[in-house]
Amino acid sequence: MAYKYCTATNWGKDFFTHQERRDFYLRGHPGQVWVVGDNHFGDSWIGKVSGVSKTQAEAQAIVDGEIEAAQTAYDALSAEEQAERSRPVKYNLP
Amino acid sequence: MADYKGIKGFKVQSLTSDPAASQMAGGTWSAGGALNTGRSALGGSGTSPTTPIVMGGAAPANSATTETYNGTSWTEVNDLNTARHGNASAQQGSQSATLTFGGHGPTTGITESWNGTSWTEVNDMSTSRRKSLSVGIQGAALTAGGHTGSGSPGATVNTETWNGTSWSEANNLNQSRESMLGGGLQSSAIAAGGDNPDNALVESWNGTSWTETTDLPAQRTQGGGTATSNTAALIFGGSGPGSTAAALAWNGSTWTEVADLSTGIDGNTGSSGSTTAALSVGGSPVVTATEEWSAPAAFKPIYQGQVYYNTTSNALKLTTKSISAGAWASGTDYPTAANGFSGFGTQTAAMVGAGPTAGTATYTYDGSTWSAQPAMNNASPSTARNYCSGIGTTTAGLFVGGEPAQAFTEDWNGTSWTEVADLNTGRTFAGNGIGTSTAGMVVGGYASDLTAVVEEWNGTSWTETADLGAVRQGPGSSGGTTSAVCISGGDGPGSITVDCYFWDGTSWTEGANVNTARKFQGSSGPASNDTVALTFGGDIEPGKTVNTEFYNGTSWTEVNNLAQKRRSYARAGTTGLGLYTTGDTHPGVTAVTEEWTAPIANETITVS
Repeated sequence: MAYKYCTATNWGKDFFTHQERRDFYLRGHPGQVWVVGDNHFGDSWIGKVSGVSKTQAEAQAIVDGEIEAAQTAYDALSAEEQAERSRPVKYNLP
Repeated sequence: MADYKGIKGFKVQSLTSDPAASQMAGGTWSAGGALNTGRSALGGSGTSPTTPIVMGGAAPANSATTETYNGTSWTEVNDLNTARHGNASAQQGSQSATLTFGGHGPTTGITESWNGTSWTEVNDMSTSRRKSLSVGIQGAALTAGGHTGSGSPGATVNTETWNGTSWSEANNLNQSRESMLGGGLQSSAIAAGGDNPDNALVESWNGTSWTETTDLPAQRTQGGGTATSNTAALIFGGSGPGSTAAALAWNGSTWTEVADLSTGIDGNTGSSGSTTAALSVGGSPVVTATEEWSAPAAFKPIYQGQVYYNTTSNALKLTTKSISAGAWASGTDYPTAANGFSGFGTQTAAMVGAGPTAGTATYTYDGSTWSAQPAMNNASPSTARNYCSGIGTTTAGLFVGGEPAQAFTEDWNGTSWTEVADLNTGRTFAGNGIGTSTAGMVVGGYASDLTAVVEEWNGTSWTETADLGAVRQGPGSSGGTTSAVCISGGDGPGSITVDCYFWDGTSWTEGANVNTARKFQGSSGPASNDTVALTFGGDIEPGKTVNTEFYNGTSWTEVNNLAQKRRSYARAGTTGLGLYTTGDTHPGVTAVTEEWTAPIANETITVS
């Protein structure tokens, strides 16, 4: 499956609808990065949410930066607080 | 000659939403209103996605904030008396009457009751805890498990019930855990996954005691969930490990994957309702986002090849199989464990017969039960017809050849077997046949030696046609007399190959190879063309394999594997719904049946 990448701020209600979830692949990631199925429904949604297009590398860099910041925040937690959650782990965007 | 549809066209149905295989399969998540205060590990109650209430949580400091939702936006209402996170709640409570209990700040047993306006502290739980299970309503709640805040690991099996006034000890969980998903009512609940460490355990509460039941497909903790009983639950998000977007539905016996959340998240809570209308709220570290689950009761059943116009998304669509998402599930064991059986038909209407220990016996399968059918006529010169080739359907099929290099052809009319014209070249190990009972083929196999000879059946007699490019023993095959593929197989004693040959109605041409060389494997595909095919299991010299590969008309891709390694099979079906039963597991033989199912997915045709 081919994807497009963008950043967009989730404003809440109707940011994405049930029908849009049926019409194209959509997955959110740290840093307000969205991976969007590359079809005309996905294109329409990027326009609807005023998404800022990114290359895959640019999107990955944003996600990596957010996860690194979350890792730093996690490492600063007390041992008791760390026991309540897992340390964020970097991953590759599709 | 053009037919009526070719001249006049056909009517395309207009639908307001996409068809679905079931109510839950038609469910999706949409964006809900954002919380005013982002947080994780919060409590939540509600009976519908438009009337929930959430309380407490980590923001990231312990929060006393309470918010209610109207289906569009969240409104802050009166705070809890005690700020905390990891608090549980009466999951099926409402905006006018609910309960929250326990939590961390530090770990506590404090219970507060909501009357629609404000929180009042009531009697504490006996066991202070955080991240325990949320169950029940304001006047009849239950909690189980959680972390007691002391010791290591500190997770407890303790269960308590609330009668509207005070907490009482009840029968414990079988496994101590915290951060479970699920919920329900005091009389019927489900506790899934959890941490101690992360696990996939599931326990069912019948109002009196906990019983272990079907595990989750994978470990999951710290996610959202909602349940109306121990037979109806939905869980979503959580850590598995790493934040997941996956959602699973529970029907009392099976966990089924349904549509994902838009975003992988943990520390979210389930609020509102039921398995068909729910809400995921917040998440780690301080998420304001919410998502609304809706599985509409009114939906059009889906069927493959369906063409329709979706008036909501303004698109012409068709449904097609998403083969890569297919998987094998257990079917009903064949009556006899052995190798050398053959089969034809479909997953839910299959004919399987012969085999070395079963003589000429045959059975049909309806998707759940094997039923004895009349035996074939010819077993000579041995008492068996093992390693023959099957072609067709359960109302019109053929078994052809068999060990040792027999030429017999028997025709099945849905009721009885009739001997018809023999092959020109008797053979065995030719794998499954191709096509239909009136236009079929058998490919290669073993005659007096390995052979490349191919014969074509016209409903009356066999005619030799163009040979394969190489001798071939135990190949998989798929397609029909005008378009087919011969998949790998053996090309010499003890050898296996990845080579595939494609038939265009006139000649065979070598094309895309499988990734895993094999012989005596199963294969499935349409009895008409070579554009899609599935091959699975087989002999990989040495040993057997569970490997399954899908051909999309261009190349072979590995998909989900069989559960059991084996070769020398009986198979039936297509790439969407396949069947594999019996076989040689070396050592030993098996009667196990596995069923391949690829979900029907919507694929969009671009509107001009």
